Amino acid sequence: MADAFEAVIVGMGPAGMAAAIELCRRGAHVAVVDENPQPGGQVYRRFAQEFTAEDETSLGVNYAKGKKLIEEFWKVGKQCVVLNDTHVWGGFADNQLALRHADKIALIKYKKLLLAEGASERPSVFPGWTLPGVMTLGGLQKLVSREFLLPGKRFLIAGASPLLIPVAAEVLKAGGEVAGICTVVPLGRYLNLFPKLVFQREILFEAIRHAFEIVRRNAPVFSGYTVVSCAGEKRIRKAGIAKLDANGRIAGGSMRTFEIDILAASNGIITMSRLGRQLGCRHEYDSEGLCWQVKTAPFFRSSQADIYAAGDSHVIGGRDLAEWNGRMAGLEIAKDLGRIPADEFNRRLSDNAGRRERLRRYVSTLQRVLSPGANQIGRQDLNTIVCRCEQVTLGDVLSGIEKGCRTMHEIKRTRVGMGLCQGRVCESIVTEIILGKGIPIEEIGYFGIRQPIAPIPIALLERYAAQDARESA
Amino acid sequence: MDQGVIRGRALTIHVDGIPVRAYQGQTIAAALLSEGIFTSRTINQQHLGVYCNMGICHSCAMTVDGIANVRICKTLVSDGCQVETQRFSKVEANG
Repeated sequence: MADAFEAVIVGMGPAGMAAAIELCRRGAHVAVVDENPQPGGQVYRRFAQEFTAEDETSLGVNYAKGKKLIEEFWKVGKQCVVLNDTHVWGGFADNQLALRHADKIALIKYKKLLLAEGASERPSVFPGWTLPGVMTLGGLQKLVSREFLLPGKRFLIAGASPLLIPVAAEVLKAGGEVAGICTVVPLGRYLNLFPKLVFQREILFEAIRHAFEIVRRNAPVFSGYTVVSCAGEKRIRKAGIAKLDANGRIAGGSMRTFEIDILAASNGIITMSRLGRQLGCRHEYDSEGLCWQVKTAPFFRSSQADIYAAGDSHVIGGRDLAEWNGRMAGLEIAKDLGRIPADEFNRRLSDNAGRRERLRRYVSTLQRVLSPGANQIGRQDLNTIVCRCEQVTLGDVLSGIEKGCRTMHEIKRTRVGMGLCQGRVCESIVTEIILGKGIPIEEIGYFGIRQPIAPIPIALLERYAAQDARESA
Repeated sequence: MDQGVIRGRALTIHVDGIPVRAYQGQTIAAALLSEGIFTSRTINQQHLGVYCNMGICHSCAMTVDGIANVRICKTLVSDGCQVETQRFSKVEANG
C-alpha cells in the first residue's frame, strides 16, 4: 500500500523548500523528495556534515542565505516527511510516484504534485571536451567551494555564464592558478548589467568582491574568446582559445594556447524538467533562455491535473525568484487543497508583485547580456563529439538531418541521446544544431522521457515485483 | 587544499584494487580527483571522467561494490569500498 500525501514536492532547492514551508504552515501533509543527502539543491548546497569549516562566512553570501532558508525549512518543515537520498524514477497512473532509496523501491501517492526539479548547465562544446579534466563551471564550483578540493594547479575558466566570474574568483581564493578567464561575451557587455544590479545589492557586492579577487591576483581575462581546441591523451593537458569571426574562423593572430590541468566551461543555465515531461505536462520553448519550460496557467498549475511547477525547472530565474515562486506555488496548492481562502492567496500574490517583477527583469537582462549567441556548435569541426555517452559526432548528427531527421525523436536514429544520461547533456546542443538548419522549434520538440527517468538496476525492480506479488497473494 | 576545513575521518577505498585514501563525507569523485585519478570509464579507448559533478551527465559512472554505472559524484565513500573503471566498446548505429 502506497503512502499518501496531500502534496508531494520533487526537489529540495529554494523553490521546493519554500513551497514546503508554506504548505506545512497551513497544516498540509507533505512529503519532499530529493536525490541529495541534505536540502539546498545546487545553489544552496551544504558541505558534507562530516566536515567542519573554520570560517563559514568565507563561503559567501549564497551560503549564508541558503543556511537561513534551510533553517526555516527544518523548523517549519518538521511536520513534513523529508525523503532525502531518494530519487523519483517515474510517475504512474492514479497520482503515484515511484521512488528509489538505496536498494529499495517504493510508491507514494499525492493529491497535488509540485515539480521543482531545478536546472542544469548548457555544455560548452569544442573538440576534446570529453577529455577527463574538462568540467562544467558548476561542477568545478561544487568541488572547490563545497568539497574543498582543487583538482589541479592550473585552470582555464571559460564560457558564457553567470557562474564564470564567481568560479574564477573561487579558484583563485582557494589558491589555484588561473591561466585565463575566457569570456565569450565581450567584457563591455557586462556593463549593461549595472543598472539592474543597483537593485540587487548583495549580488552587486559579491560581484565586486569577485572582480577584486581577479584583479588582485592578476588573472588574465580574454574578452570575446572561445575555446577552440583541447588536447591530451588520458586527460586534458593543453587548450587553445581564439577570437572567432562571423564565419567561425579563427581571427588572425588571436590563437593562444595554455598548458593546464583543468578546463571548466559551460554556456549558461537551462531548465531540467524531466518528471514534468514524462507526466505529459505541456512545455513551451523559451527563446531567450534557449530551453523548454513547463507551461503553467493560472500561476503555477501545469496542463496536467494536480501537477504544478515552480523554480528553475519551470522558468530560469535563479535562487531568489525560485524561492518567491516556490512560496507562491505552495500557497496556490494550499488554496486548491482548501487549506486557505482564495483571497489570502491573491493578497500574498499582489503583496510581492513589485519585487517579483524587478527580479524577473534582472534575470531577463542577465540572460540577454550573458547569452552565448546562437549556433556556436555549428561552427565546430565535424569530428567534435556531441553525445558523450554514445560518442556521436557533429558530423553524424548533420548527416542524420540530411537523411531526413527533423525532430528530436527522429535524430535518435544516430544514437544521439540514447546513452546513460538519457540526453540530459546533449539535448540543448542537438536542438541548436537542428535549429541551425532552419527547422522550427515547434517541429523539433524535445527528447521524450519515459520511466525510468533515471537509470536503476533491473534487479531492484525484480525484487520489488516479487515482494508485491507476495503481499497481494 | 587543507586550509579552512577539517575533513571527516580518514578511511581507505580501493580503485581497481589499489588503496586510495579518502575522508568520510567525501564523494568517491572527490577522493579520486584529489589523488589525480581522472578516468572513470572508457568508450572505445576514449577516456571519460567527472564532468558535471552533480549527477546529470553520468560521465563519471563506475562499478562500485559490484554494481555497474554508479555515479561517483553522487556516491559517498565508505571504508573498504571497491571501485572499478568501466570499459565499453560502442555498438555501431544502423541509421
